[in-house]
Amino acid sequence: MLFSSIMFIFYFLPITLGVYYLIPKSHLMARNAWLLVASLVFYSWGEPVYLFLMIFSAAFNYYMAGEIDREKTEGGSGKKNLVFALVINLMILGFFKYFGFLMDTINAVTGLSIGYTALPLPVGISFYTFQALSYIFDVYRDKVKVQKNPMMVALYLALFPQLIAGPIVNYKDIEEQLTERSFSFDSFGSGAIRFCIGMGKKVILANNLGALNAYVAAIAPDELTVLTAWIGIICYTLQIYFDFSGYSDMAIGLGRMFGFRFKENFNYPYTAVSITDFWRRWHISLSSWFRDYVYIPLGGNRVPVRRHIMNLLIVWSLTGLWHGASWNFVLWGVYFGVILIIEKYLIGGYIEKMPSWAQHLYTMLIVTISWVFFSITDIGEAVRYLGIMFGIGSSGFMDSSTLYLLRTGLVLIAMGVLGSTKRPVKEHERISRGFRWHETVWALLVLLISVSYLVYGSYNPFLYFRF
Amino acid sequence: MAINIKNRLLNIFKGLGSAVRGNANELAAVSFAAVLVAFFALNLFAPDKSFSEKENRMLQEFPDVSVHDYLNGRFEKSFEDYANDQFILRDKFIRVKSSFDAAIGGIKSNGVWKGRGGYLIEDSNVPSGSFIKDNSEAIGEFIEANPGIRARFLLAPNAVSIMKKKLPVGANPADQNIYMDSFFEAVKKVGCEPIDVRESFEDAKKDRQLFYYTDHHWTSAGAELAYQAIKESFGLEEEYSFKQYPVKNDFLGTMSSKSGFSGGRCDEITLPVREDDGRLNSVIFYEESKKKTTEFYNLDKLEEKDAYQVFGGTNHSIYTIKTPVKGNRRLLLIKDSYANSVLPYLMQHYTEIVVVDPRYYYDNIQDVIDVEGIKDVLFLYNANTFFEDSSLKMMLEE
Repeated sequence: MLFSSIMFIFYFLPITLGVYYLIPKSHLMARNAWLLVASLVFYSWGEPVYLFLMIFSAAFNYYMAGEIDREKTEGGSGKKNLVFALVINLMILGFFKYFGFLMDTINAVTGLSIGYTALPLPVGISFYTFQALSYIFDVYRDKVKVQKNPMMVALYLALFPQLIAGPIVNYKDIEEQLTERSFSFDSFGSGAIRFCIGMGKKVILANNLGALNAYVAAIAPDELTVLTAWIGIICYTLQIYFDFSGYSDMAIGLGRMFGFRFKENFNYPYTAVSITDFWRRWHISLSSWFRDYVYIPLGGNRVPVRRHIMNLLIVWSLTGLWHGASWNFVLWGVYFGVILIIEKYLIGGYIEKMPSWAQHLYTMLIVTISWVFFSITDIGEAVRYLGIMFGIGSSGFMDSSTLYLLRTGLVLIAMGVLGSTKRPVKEHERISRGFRWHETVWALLVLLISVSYLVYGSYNPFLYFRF
Repeated sequence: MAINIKNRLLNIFKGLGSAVRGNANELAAVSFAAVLVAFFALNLFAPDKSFSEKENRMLQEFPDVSVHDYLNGRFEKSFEDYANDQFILRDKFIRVKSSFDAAIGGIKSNGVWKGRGGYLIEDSNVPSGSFIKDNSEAIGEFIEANPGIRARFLLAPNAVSIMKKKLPVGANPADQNIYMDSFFEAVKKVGCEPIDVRESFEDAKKDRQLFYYTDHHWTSAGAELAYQAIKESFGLEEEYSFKQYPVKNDFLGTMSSKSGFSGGRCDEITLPVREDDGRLNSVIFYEESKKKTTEFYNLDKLEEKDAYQVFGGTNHSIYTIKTPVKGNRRLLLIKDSYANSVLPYLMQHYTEIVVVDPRYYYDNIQDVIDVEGIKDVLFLYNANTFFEDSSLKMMLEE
């Protein structure tokens, strides 16, 4: 089920919240049980088969964490069990997500044409597998106590707010909240506001910008002009940010409405002053996962330079691959890895001395170009598109399609650019000071417009089906 | 347990009460919860509709629940469609959307282009994969079962192709001509003579307004051109000339309300009157309501929003027009609303016209032909509606 649907907002959410809050606060376990049931319905909606995979994953990781813990209390290291759990989790992920990719690559390299049937990707599998791994690792490293109640492990993995598009919640961050969390109208309300704003980011901004990008994507490369290509990728740049951060906002907001506190996942990434800074602000839960469970175990930066560069490249190829089973995502990841290495070892100091407008321009140029490789699966086509952006093989600077895009898109793009900065929030706070109703009116207005788009059934893509 | 829930609700209400007097977040909490509860209840209790006049399509009704449909995802899909289609105040919400689209500078809203010269032009619909084949086959079988009839198909072009020059810069609608060509070819093969008015429309569009600025229908002038083509195709001999009698000059049609674009040009609605002032005292009989009337025009509809309904009223499943025309010629007209403004012309030639709208007609059409002794059958649709409509095929296969 998607958050951005009438079904979710006006059927699933009222029922889930209603029953949840009818159960008294003192019966937290009953609330948890209900939340688990609701989460499983949410997950299975439309594709109930993969529910079994989810249940298996929960049971398996519950059991393996117990085994690791048992081994450790008996004096062992728990390493064998850790490796086994790791292998099984990654095999499941690999089978569903990377099998087709692997076969394609084998066929391409060997020139064979081995037939295979790739299964449809279970939604959210990359997110919940990473959550499961963080739990297993943390039990192994004594960062958390083993969870004795299988329902809690299942709830941790399946909790519907963050289930399909993150943030990736680490077990250590939520362990306590599973057994003790506070409920208040204040946090419910702040969650509701957050949810409405996130919905608006997704439905009003991301979807409309996405429609513009789709218009550009449908133009044959021979007929693309320089300006059209730029508008297309700028729209995509804004679309993916508002889509993804909108989903995170909704997840965080929904979490609060049920008494959970999730960490922030985005921190105005398009205001970053370098790529290093950008990755501290973009999909924070993913980059910190890779930092904690891959980069640091590999030795992090406390290793010789050569090894460090190697580590960074490994982490960033994996980060790329996590986003989708296709070479363009690997390229996208490595592209960022290389730039981060360059910033770290070569130009970091120089960037710091640049005027702030140049820092922003530099960062956004690198980021925008990265989205070309992210949004166009075929690397050859991506290169061609990039060429057109810089006048190579373009059909002129602009044409009637460009005019059309400018006319339909200018306000949206302006809204998007402005919305990527802290400015609107600050202005909003300034205006609303001393006016109690302001936030509510604003949030409900955004919800009203979003719902009107959803009712009509406008363009509403789901970008994370590859994640 | 009962007492428990009662206490629980009391507690919740107490909390709500203090929250209303609380800070901004607490207010938001109460308001958001109230919105959810209100819409949940309204959606639960509001009666469902099966057809949307505004969007001209069937709405999803509550799907049957079965384990099988749940497991293969069909139930979920239908339920989501149901939630959207039956959403309370759906039309109002769509209006909000289109106004917002228009406000942020869109030149296309809800499938309508904001064209030049005041034209609001609906985007073209493309028939799905087997549509042309399925429909022409159904028509072929119908003709085979009725060897005595003369069948004609008038598929009207829409403003999106005839008034292409009025589209905004960069608008890229699918070319409906390609699909019309292949449809005409397909029906010709099965023995149904196509009536193609595109050329005469192209010729006439310079000096006459053939489509409304703000409505998806053709004007009475457009309808007259279509009538000329029908007359020729069926070999109707009597010659009449018509003058247009204006009855409304501030018509804002469905494209205006659908798109939310304001500043569109108002339309004039005219009714054709015979130059020789010949008036036929026709009698119209509506089958479903068993009502008889002598007025084809519903002049009271001119005061309503959808003033095009002046031509024969709202969508009827079947009705019969009996005229004093001599010669005992009878026509079965299977049509959409484009035909409504052609009827005043056709009435001059036929003793009886049976008008059927397959979207609402669920009986067997064969009975009508047999009982009424019909020889001429005219299918009259506009391409945009037709390519999205499965009801003709369903009716013919009944």
